[in-house]
Amino acid sequence: MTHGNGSRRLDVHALARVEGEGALHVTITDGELTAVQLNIYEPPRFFEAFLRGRGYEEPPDITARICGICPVAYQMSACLAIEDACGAVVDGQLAALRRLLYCGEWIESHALHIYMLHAPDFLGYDGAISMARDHRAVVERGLRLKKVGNRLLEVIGGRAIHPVNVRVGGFYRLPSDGELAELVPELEWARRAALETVEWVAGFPIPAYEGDWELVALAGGSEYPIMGRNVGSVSGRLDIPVSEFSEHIHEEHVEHSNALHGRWDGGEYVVGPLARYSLNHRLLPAVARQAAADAGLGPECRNPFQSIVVRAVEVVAACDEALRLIGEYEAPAAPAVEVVPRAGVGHGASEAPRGLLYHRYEIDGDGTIAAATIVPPTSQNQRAIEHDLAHVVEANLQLDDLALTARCEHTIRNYDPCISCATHFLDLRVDRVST
Amino acid sequence: MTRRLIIGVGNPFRHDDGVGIAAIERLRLCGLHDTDLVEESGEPVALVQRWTGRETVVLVDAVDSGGPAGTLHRFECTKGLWGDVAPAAAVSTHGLGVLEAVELGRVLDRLPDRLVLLGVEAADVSDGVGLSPPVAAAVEALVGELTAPAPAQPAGESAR
Repeated sequence: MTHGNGSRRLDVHALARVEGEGALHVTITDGELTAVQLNIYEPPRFFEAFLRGRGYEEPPDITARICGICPVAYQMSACLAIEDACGAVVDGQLAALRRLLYCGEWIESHALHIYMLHAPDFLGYDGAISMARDHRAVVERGLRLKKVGNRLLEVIGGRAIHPVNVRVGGFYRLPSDGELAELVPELEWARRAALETVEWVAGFPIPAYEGDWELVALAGGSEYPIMGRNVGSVSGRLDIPVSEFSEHIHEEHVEHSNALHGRWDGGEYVVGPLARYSLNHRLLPAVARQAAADAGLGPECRNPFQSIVVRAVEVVAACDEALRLIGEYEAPAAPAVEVVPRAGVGHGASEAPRGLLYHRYEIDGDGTIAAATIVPPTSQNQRAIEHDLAHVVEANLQLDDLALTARCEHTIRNYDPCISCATHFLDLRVDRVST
Repeated sequence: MTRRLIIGVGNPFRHDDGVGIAAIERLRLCGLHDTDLVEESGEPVALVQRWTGRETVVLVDAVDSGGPAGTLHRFECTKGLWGDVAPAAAVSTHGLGVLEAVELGRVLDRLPDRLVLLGVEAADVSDGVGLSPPVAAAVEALVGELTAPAPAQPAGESAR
């Protein structure tokens, strides 16, 4: 930044504060790619330890701080797991309100990723700021769309960042009919804007690429999955209740990374919008299904560069779902069901905007947490990201480091892994070694 | 005159990175009638949305300039121009945050008339709760400044 007013400067570094910090190390030996190592810092390990010994009602509030972009995902997976351990069932309009809250997070997070992080990659800008100079009206549409998601979070969750109205068993306070009705006009605008978004991103130059990974998401429900009890895969080889998740998906330490990598006993897999869509596109609301078809998406989508189109389709779905849920809403008798602690183990899974997020809690009879496990989508996708990066680097070895870095960043952003590392990979290292 | 907005930025589970949130919690106890208090994670688009349409905004955040822990830095951006001391852009270790938000706000004409960035030099941003003693002391100094009845001091850097 230059100011032309005789200013002096002081170097001030912002601090990492949202899910993930990334480093990527690419080694090219004698003109051939020999190693791709992605290192994403992962906060859940700290939170798992921090939760031990705390009360069973605390995880929703505490784990919401893991990610500034998807607090609701952490809250919902935590609530579902604890309620499972305690044998409590939250259904009917309380479950519908949770889904409505989660729609807000999808709208907000997807709008942020599509407009501010991913679109600049396709349009040849180094970031949202330079893109906004040339495409102001489009960026303003993205901001307004994101704000509609924020409003949903504020009305149902109490506030947009770190929602305070969520508790085990439901909510502290129910929204009034008037508060929900006020959301309708903006959601109707948002549904139209989301359709325009699909059209916009479908016109981007999308590189041809297909991942041969198994696609894993919540499945088997009657609605496009946000919270669910079953995990499935496109090939049908994985079809399990959430309670068996940790029997089939293992987390492994990888030498070059702080993070644990998820590994399925059946092979390599990815989670996220491509998996959700490929497993469940029949369950999309009609308007979103039509938008997908108009954008040229088939029944299955395996190109991670097309994830921006699927995200846009999911924004249409989330806006439409939110309108349906508000239209059908009848206030439940109480804002929460009682959840009485008992000794046991509980599992919860929900579809964070970036993919399946699993929580498991072991609870003592008095409600004290004995063990916590959190498996975030980013750790599950890390292996696939490295694989894609290897492909992209090999195909573009002739590029200089700057151009190669931009391609790598774009490839990583396909997975919306987390905002800080998805924005800039300042710690990218390319070693070109000659032997 | 519209109400002043104070935004606390940070994560209380990253030790000193929680200084902005701690300041907001502390300010809530002060019963300020002319001020709105909010927390943010630091995601720049959310900051731009938060301050759009506001006249006076104060942002409290943890910073790392290599100075002693607890040092309070003050930067003022009036009508889109920084004062005689400006934070350097694009030096962030993660390329994301307040300065990017200011630039985005500038491009979209969504900057408040007056934006004051109060940055507290952090000592420890590892996982964990609680502020280091010098940063906790800086919160008290900062709260004193923000609750003082006199108009805020002119732009410039002030030591703790």
